[in-house]
Amino acid sequence: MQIRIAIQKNAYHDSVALMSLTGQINGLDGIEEAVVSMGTPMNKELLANVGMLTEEAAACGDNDLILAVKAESEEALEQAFQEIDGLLHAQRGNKKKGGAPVQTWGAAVQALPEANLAIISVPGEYAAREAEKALKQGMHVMIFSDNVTLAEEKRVKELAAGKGLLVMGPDCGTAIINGVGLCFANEVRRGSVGLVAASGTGLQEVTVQLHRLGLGVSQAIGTGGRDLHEEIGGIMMLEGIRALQADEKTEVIVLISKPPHPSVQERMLRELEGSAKPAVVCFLDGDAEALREAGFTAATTLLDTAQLAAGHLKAEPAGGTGAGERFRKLLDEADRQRSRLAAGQTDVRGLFCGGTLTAEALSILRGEGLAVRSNVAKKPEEKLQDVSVSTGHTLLDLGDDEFTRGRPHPMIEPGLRNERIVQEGRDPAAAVLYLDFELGYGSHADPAGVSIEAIREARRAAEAEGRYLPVVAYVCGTELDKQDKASQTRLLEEAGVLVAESNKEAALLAARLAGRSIKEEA
Amino acid sequence: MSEGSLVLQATEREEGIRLPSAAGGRWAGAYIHSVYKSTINIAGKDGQLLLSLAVRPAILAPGMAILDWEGDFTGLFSPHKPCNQIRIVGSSLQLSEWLICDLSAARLVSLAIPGPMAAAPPERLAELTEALRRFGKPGGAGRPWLRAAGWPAPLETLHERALYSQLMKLALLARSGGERELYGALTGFAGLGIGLTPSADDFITGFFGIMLAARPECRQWAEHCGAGWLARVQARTTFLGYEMLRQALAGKVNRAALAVITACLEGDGRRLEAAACGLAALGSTSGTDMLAGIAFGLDTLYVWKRRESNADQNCHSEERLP
Amino acid sequence: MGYSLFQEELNIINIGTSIFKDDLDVQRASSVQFSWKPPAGGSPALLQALDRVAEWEQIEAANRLAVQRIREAHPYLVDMGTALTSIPGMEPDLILHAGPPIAWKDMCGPMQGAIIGALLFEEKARNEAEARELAASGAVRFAPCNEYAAVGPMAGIISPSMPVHIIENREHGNKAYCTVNEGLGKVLRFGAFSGEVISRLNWIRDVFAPAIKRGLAESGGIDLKAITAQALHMGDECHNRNKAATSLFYKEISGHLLAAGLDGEGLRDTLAFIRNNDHYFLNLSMPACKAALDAGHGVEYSTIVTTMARNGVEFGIRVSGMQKDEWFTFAANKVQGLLFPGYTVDDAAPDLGDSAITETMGIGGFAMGGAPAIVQFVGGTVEDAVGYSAQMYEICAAENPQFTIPNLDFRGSALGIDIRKVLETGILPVINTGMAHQEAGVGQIGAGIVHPPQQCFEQALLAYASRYDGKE
Repeated sequence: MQIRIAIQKNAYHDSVALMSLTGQINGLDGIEEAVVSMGTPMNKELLANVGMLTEEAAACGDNDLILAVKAESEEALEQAFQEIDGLLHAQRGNKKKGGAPVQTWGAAVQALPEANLAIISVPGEYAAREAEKALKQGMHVMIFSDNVTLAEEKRVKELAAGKGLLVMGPDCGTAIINGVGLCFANEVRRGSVGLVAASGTGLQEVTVQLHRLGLGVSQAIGTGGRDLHEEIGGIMMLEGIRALQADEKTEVIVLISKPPHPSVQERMLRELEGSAKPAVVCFLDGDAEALREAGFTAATTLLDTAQLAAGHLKAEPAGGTGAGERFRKLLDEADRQRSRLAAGQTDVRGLFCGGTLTAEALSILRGEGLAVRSNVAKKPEEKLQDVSVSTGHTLLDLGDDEFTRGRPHPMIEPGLRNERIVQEGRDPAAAVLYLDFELGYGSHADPAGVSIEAIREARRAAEAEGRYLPVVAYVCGTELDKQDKASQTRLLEEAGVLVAESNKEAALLAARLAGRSIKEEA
Repeated sequence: MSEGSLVLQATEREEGIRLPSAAGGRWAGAYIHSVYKSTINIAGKDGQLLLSLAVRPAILAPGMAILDWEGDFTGLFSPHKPCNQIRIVGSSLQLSEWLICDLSAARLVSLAIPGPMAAAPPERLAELTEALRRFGKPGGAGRPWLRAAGWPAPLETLHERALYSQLMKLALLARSGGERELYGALTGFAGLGIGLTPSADDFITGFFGIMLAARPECRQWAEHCGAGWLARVQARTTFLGYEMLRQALAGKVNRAALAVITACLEGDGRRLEAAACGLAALGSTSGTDMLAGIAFGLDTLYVWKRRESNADQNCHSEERLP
Repeated sequence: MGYSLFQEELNIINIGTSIFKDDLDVQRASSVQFSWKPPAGGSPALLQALDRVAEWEQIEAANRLAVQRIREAHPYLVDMGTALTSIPGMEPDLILHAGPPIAWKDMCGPMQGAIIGALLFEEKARNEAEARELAASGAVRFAPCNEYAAVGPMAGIISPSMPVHIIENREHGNKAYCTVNEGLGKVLRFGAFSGEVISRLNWIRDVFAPAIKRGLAESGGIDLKAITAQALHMGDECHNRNKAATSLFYKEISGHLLAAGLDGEGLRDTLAFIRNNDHYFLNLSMPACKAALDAGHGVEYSTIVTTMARNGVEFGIRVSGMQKDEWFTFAANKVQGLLFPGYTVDDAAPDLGDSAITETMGIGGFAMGGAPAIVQFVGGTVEDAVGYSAQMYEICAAENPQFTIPNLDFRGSALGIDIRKVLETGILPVINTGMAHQEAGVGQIGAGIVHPPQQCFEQALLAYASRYDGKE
């Protein structure tokens, strides 16, 4: 039982307003008693009788207003007093915190004077300008927009570094700051792993896997895809590393990106060397061996990154030994399905919403000995010439520019993938369809539901021509995400889809279905 | 007329308000004591309430003038806080740099409690209680009184429960004690309840309203003992509550309460119902509390009438209220 | 370093797509949605100019000074005079008109009609044909009222013999001028020039104006600022609704007319003329605003708009920090609103008149929030009206606590349109106005809302930037 008293000296409020106030407070959850009355001796006696007379209340005068609330919890009390404040202090022209949308910087700052972060998702050519305005106001910035020039990015980041402010972006889709998911992010436990990433879905996957392992995230800082470019020099990645080194809640530092320019890599690794906290470096498609030889903990897949971080924390991975069992069952099922493939069905066809997951899958499949092509491959021999037609093993990042011109991103609108799903189903060479589904903030409300029909149609099309089409999927999310991961998974499983617990697992399953005997670990 | 001013005309004023004059007098040093949405109170430098200004459609009360305007005072005065010194301009009050209140054309209205009036027919109390049941608002003395009168009225708040136990004591005192004893005991009751005028104060106002109308003894008591009574009450209640009680003992109550009192004592049931409905609408619970006080007064009148007309003391303290 | 952020509670401004804000709300993070629009309509040249200009520190101080002067101005109606002898620079062959400069041949129907009427009134022509010939001949010159410290509603024609109100800004000493409002119906300002119109103009010159002049002589001047302030609390916005202000004025002038010893028919007719014209005060409201705004013109570096005016073809603005008679013009928009029965939008003339001087001053459309009656007239809801008034704060430099708007909790009206803010936010000033029929003489056919064309502000900014470039 919590009690709080507030006194309003010489308060001038109409009886009717006071009555309705009392009624409203009493109506709130968790409120046992709410008394709003003038500080006369009789009223004070009344409060004393129910143990609600504080010293301050006792000292007030006949013409002072006493608000006394008794509640079950501190939260209920807090809520009650916020209501009281709002009702008694309806000031002229006073906007509630973050009320109606504003149309100017002046109005924004007036509505939220303590603003410390600006999220910018305006067209790229204006993004730098708005970012500079925000930085000049002393705010940190997250730039979701892409199509910002290299020169602009450099200018903005140098301005920020000079002021000790963070610029997450441009082209930064994911961040988790102080437990708040920004743009595309998953709801994960808070904990002691701090991450800095130059990749959006990469950051999502590692945070999701950390959560699955029972760990939590202190801060997840995005730097934007181009931060490690030679011109930019990794300004924000370095700032991020330093910030995590200084953050007392962070015990392990994780770096995620594609391999940076050598000079930038030098700088970053040197920064990490001096760090008191253990670090895990994930350069996708990078030379993990070389990093290990240099004494760093390195991983090449996102799942491994999470596991290595867990290792540093000497944490027991949640899910214990059961994980191995579960994957074995999936492998067995994959084998069963593979036996139903027709001759000629040889190819893995991956259709992704998340760019980094595409890159990771590419890396893993290559490692399993498959010759894979992709629209986002860096190596020239892996670059797909005509993105409208898949040939051989093909992994498509449907969020890439050429697919999203004038259309929403597939993470927001996964339905855009459906046509291609059916197209692959009709291709006799397709041995397995490999799909990712991102959950969390920013993403579609029902990514699996939106694609189920297309998946079924693809399989029907294959069946009509005497083929069996297995589908492997990875649902990137946690049980805390708003889309209800369990039901998304169930929806897919009921449609016969093999649902993996990590992108790495999904890639390995896909490889298995394409006839590779993979190393049986995940 | 002052240039650039908004002039609010008063259409009615209670006759006890003397017009301000440039000479000052009571008005010298007058200031705005408090500002509410539909009322502002003006006090003199001795702290006494000089005048209340209310917007339509207010119910005229002692010391009040009603303005030909329906606006919102808090908007007009913000950001000026109360304590503004008031200037006298002719026979008008300059309330702020550009707001003037002109009382000169207002119609005078008397809110004097009539009397002495004949005792009410017995049905009146039942009708009044019924009206209280139908029109009364919760939170104040309404439901406590009904419960005390034998009706199954719920007591849902801390104040209602406290008011109930006080009312039972007062009812007991009315049956077993003397007239002066009862009036004196009311000082211990004042200040209890919610509202700017605590429920108890409204209740007492209603009570004295009808007592002064019906009993010359009450008027005499008020004349001789009123000042002392008020002095005891002043420390126990709010500024507005005190002022209201002061006016009541001086023989004045608001228009709606007057209508109920006269309907009780000389009118018919229908008039009483309409008047009670009008009074219950006053404030949030103020009107209901006054109604309850009038009902208590009526009940007390019957009790005393029976006691006085009966030589023997058959009226014992367990007597049920009708 | 980012660590201070890690200790603070996040307070986020979300600029751009609102789906991100929705998810912030789900997480109960404190945030505000900034509904962003490309500044300056997306033009790179303008953006560059805006950015360059944003660096100049002198602007804030200059704007403050301009606004202060406008706010402190105190216009009084002091006298009635004849245009030729009262308006400095007025000439016998000059006719003043509303809006920015325009040649006879380009003028819209109502303005030409009004000029014809003026020439008939001046007895420089005997009929329409002669008047047209004279007007086209070059023997008569035309110039904007605004360049002569004058303003005129609708066609806004002032010819040498016309009586004009003389308004004096007692705070700074400058004056402004405006004719007498003829009333509704077939009147000169809508382009009518029938015998009835001319007779009325004659009566105004011979009976009405002299009467008012006598009344004003002993009055010490009538405080127009005070009347405007009160009228705004009484449901007027002093552009399209002037009922209350006219009543207040009537109260004052009638006393003065009586005190001046007027009597008989002259007095009766004079009083009746005012009494029967609910828009009488418009022709006092406008020059009062003009006098105040003129006081604020000419402040170096100031980006405050001091005039908005239309001539039925073009909309023009003037800016405090630019030359006195430097206009920035563009084709005027058509008014959006309600048409009287029987008329369609094709019948309407484009925006016309100097009366947008009231909005420039922060009343008129800017005070729509307090004039619910006008709202029906312009085809909206009270909420819309309040919304328009509220939006204007975003493009103005300050507020005017002397003109407060009841429905905005008595907030002072937005004062001092800043061309930078207009371009940055894409919000254009809102103007309440009547619609005239495009044919001369038909009259008013509706009322509604109109915005100045953005291009006026764009031109002004580019000219401003190049004027002050390299000087700072």
